[in-house]
Amino acid sequence: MTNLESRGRCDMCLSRRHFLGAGLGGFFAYAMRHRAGDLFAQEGAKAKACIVLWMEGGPSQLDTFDPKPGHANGGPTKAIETAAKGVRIAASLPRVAAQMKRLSIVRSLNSAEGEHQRAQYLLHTGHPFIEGVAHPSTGAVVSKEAGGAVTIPRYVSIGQPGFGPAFLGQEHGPFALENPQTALEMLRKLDSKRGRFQLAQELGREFEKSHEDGLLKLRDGLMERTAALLDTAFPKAIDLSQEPDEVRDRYGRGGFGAGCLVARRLVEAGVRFVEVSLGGWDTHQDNFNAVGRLCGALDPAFSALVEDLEKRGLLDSTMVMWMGEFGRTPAINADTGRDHFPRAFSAVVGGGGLAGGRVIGETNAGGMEIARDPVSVADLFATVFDRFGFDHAKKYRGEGGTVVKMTEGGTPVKALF
Amino acid sequence: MIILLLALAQIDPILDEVWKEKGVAPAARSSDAEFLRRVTLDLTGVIPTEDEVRAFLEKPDRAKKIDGLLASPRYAIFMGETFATSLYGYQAAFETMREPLEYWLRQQFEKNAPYDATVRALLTASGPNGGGGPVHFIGRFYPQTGAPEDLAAKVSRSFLGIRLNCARCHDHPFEKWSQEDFYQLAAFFKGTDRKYITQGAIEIVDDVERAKARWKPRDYEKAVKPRFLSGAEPQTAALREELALFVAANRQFARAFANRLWYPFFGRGIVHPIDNFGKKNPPSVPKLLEWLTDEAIRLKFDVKALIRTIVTSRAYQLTSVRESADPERGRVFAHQAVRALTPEQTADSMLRALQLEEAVGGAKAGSIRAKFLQFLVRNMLDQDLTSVFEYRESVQDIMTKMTIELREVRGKFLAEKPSVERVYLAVLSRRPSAGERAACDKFLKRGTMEEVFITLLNSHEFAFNH
Amino acid sequence: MTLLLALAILTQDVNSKIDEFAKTIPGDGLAARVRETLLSPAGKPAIKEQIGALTGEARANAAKTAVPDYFKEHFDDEGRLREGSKAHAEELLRELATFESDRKEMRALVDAIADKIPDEPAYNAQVKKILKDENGQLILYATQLRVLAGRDEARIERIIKPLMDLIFEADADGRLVVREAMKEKIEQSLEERYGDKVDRVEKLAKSLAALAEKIKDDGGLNSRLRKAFASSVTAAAILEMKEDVDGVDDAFVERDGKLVIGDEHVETAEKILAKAEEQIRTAGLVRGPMLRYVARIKDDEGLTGRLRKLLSYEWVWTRLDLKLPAGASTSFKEAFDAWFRTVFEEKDGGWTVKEAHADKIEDGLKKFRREAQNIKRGADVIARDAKRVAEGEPVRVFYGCLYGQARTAEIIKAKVEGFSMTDAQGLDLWIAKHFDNGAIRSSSEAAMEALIRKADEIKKQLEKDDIGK
Repeated sequence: MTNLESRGRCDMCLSRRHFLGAGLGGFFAYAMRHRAGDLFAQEGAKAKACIVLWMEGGPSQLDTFDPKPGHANGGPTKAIETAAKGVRIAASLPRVAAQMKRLSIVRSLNSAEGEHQRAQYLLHTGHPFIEGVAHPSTGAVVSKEAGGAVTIPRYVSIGQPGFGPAFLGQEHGPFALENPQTALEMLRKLDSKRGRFQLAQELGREFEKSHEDGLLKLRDGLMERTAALLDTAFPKAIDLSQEPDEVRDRYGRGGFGAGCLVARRLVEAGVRFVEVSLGGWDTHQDNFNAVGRLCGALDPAFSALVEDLEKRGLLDSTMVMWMGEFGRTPAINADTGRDHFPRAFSAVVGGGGLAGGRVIGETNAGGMEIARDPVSVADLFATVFDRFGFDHAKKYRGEGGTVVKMTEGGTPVKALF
Repeated sequence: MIILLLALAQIDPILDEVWKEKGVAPAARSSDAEFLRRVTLDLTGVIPTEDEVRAFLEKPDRAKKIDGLLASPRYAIFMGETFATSLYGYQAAFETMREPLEYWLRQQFEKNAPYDATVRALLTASGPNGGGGPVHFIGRFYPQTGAPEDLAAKVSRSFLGIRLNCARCHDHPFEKWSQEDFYQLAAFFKGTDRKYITQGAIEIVDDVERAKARWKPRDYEKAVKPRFLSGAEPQTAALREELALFVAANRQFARAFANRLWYPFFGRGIVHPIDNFGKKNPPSVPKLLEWLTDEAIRLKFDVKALIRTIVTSRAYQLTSVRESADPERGRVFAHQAVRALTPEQTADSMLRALQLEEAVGGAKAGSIRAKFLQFLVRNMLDQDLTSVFEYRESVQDIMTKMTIELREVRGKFLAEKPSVERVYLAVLSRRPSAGERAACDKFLKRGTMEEVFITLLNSHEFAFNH
Repeated sequence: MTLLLALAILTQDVNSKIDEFAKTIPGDGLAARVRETLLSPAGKPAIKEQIGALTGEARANAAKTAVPDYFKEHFDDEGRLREGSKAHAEELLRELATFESDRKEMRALVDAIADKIPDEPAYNAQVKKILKDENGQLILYATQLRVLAGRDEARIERIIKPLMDLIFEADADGRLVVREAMKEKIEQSLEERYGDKVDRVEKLAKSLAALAEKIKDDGGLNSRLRKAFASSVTAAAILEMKEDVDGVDDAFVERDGKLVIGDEHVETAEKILAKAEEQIRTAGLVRGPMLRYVARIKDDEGLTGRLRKLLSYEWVWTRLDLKLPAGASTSFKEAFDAWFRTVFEEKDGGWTVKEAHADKIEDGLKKFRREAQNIKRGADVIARDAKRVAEGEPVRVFYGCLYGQARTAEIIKAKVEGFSMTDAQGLDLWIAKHFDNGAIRSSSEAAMEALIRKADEIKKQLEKDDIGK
């Protein structure tokens, strides 16, 4: 099912590209440009899936993707050259450095939110938290806009419960995989108890007949999808025993490495949005040791994922994003730590029609201010949705007549195209 | 004469009139089993035990059952839970916690404190969070001194049923509220100081100087003075005290309260959702809402008394059986509704059906319950739960419940080799029909009773209240 | 049921207290109108505003007379220590003794490194001057090192108290019991976070302690291991790093009848020690206050008793997520070193103020001088009032030295800042001011009229529209 096909069924879509690209001519034009084989972003190349590497706690930008070795704020963190000319990142991420031709760094990301919960909400929905107004998460939006009937879960969250779909509907909510192994066992168990679904239908017949109700129909759908899950590519996708040991070793055998490998497999199975969490970045104390340890898990997994996606020809259609809820203070505190800093922080993006090897925006010598080209969270998400071919200014009808836009006044960052 | 008639007018006469008007035929009375399960879930948050079902079917004294349930300790526990969910949610935030608030609410329901007193206490709560109850409500929505917007939005929705937050960024699109209205309500909190003591410890204090000082909201063009939606303006520096007065004295407060109390027993409020009163969302039976409001005021906000009035009505006790779904009939309460269970109702009912406490003892059962509940609420942590009784089940919930292990209980209930009748009584709180008995007997020729048991636990009939 | 009633009385809100009092006001005329007003809903904000003004006044007054009040509280008219203040005086003298010994150690440490600090750039010389100056040392100690060296138990208590307040409340006998509201959550937390860990830690700690005896005290790594193994904290740290810990003994080899760590295990040992030593330091910091809390917890058969036992373990203290000041340690030398290293860095065989601080040093020195002046000023105020302390009192020496004066000023300041009056106390104050044996004072008639007027205005506001229409 191509993107054009699926879009045809989505009657709420107002994508301009759709109108322009309708008809056979449009399809051919798309196909020809794709054959041009340009590694970098192409006009019209559409992302189909997105993998977010979520760094919970607020990762320090000065110790990862915006190092300042010449300045006191840089601390002991050293910088290294990468595969992208003129781009340097922290020395604790050598393997990611080798992948930098495929990734771009946004160093001028900024927000007004320095509190964990509200900032996490902002970075998962693209909207600031407002009491009483529900916003769907980006995963739910991608799931919903992809159109068509939901069979396999569209939005999977590994390591965290994920953020809800608000008014978009329960089927676009996150399927939370705390631990792929446990989920796999549960699916296997479910498989062996398939008979229960039939028995439930049989024994429930009288009740259903005498209680005609929308809620029961909803739950019927839920039961069907649960049973159908067993026959989708989902169970196999989360079964890492299917991967050779060397691949599993390359990603790293810890929770995050395994999560990234599962993410790749899920995308291959048709999941649209996968979020893999790595926690522990809230380094108010002992920042450098903690970040060092975290990079030890991040470096192999992130680099292996990008390389793998590229090798399997998935990188063009799969966006990869690395980010956290905010960055950390350039000035080192008395506990050898860094505190919350949303004023200027970094995100890393690539794949899915986004250019690699670039640096968007810049912070000043000490990292305290943005020197050029600030990018808001709304801008970042507008860029993401644009590459998916969605109208990022599209309005949804929320609950009780509220109007919720896909992004709040964001402009796609052209420099990433 | 007219006054007497008004005093006598009740839920059922009003609805009879409406049904006649709309040409809608009301459903029949509920069966005893149907009623017992429903009212036990609604008043104590759990299904009845096997023995309770048997006893009631033999001697179905509905009024006595209602009184018994209202007097049980589970009533206050359940009410505390649902109100804590509606007012706070499941996610701890901003150095506050749900547990102390829930406990305090339970105590309020235990002593049947008048609802307006409870709300006044919530609005004026102050002091340190350690040892406090209602102060956790304030702290939860008040992350920073001088930023009471979220708190104002929550107060307006929870106690007045009005979504004033829509007027936060601009005048409300279709209701009469302006942006100024919103900030003038928020201004009642301008004298409230949220002090950070250390990690996990805050204190809410009202400061007279701050209350008198000028306040310009961060996202509004000018400074505002406190002014309630009714036009009432505070006369002292005790701003929150006066707000509590203005709120509790307003008829809309009584209306929202009556509607909020109606909602759980019918699956929808007379105005629905319950926090969205407005011209674009009129009550489905205006006369009923107004009478209920009058009654709430007459009863001086006695929660138990109003609940008793509702559940002793004929309308509450109608059956939910209907061959075809007609939303019109549902809107005017011509039949009872199929409605969602809260996570606590689900967890407690499943564990009761499994007779877990008898099998493993109170302490272990408590810890299993806590873990199960944690799982059930994990996808609700970031949600707004003002409307507590909405359907929120997910594929994962089904997966988990379908693969439930019965290791702990196998030694008790199932070891007693229960009959099909016992299993139905324990799980669905009723006796099986002839057809169901036959279907089970057929299945048991090649399957186990355990399979039947777990399947019934996962049935629609078990998953909902009806 | 009686317990419930008792709780209800304890937490009776101030509105009911106002109602109760109002009902006791006898008479007609103004008294009747006041009674009616206080009983009405509109009267509550009106009286609370007046109460608020009184408590504000009380707070301001308390600050004014804080110093003489302090001495009045602890010493009688002849300047003799009051019976009830004996413990306080003993504590002050203990603190003074600690200060003397710490200061001696500080002098020695400073003498050892002062020569290694060059005079260029200028700020090096300035900081060096402060370090070598006796008053400078005192101020540095009072403002920073005291805390870092864990001498400021009050500070630690202030960090622990909120956690304890969240979990515990005092019962009728003043013993701490787990709050009813928190019981379920605590049970769950205990099971989740501790479960069988307690037994495993205890078991390992025992075997490590036995092992410690046999380890050679060579002044190096082995000595550190020997010391660390004596604490249960190390057992907990090890169990956190590895799930199974059979064969800790195997990591050691015999040498001259004692055990030493095997070469291939040195790296692991260093890792373990790095963690354990830091946690032992933390445990040492909180020991005093924590043990005092534990002593107050009721030793019953239920959850409270279990929690009491758990909180008596040192290793549990390190898991309580207490935000303690970094670099803190109960060894003065370690604390001084930690502080020194945040300010100075090694350069050319000597020590120089860190480059990163270069642009902040001017302000820092200004701030320090200002603080020194404030302390001196505060100390002078104390010195004046301290003259009334009798000559024979041992604690007089505390108030007679600069350190003691500075600390007393700090203690009094903390008390003033912590001034708080409950609503109920405020009400008592209001009643005392305006009523004499139940009758309204003639001087308060105006205030009463103002009260009634305010309540009437509020009543008018209450008549406004039904907003739902």
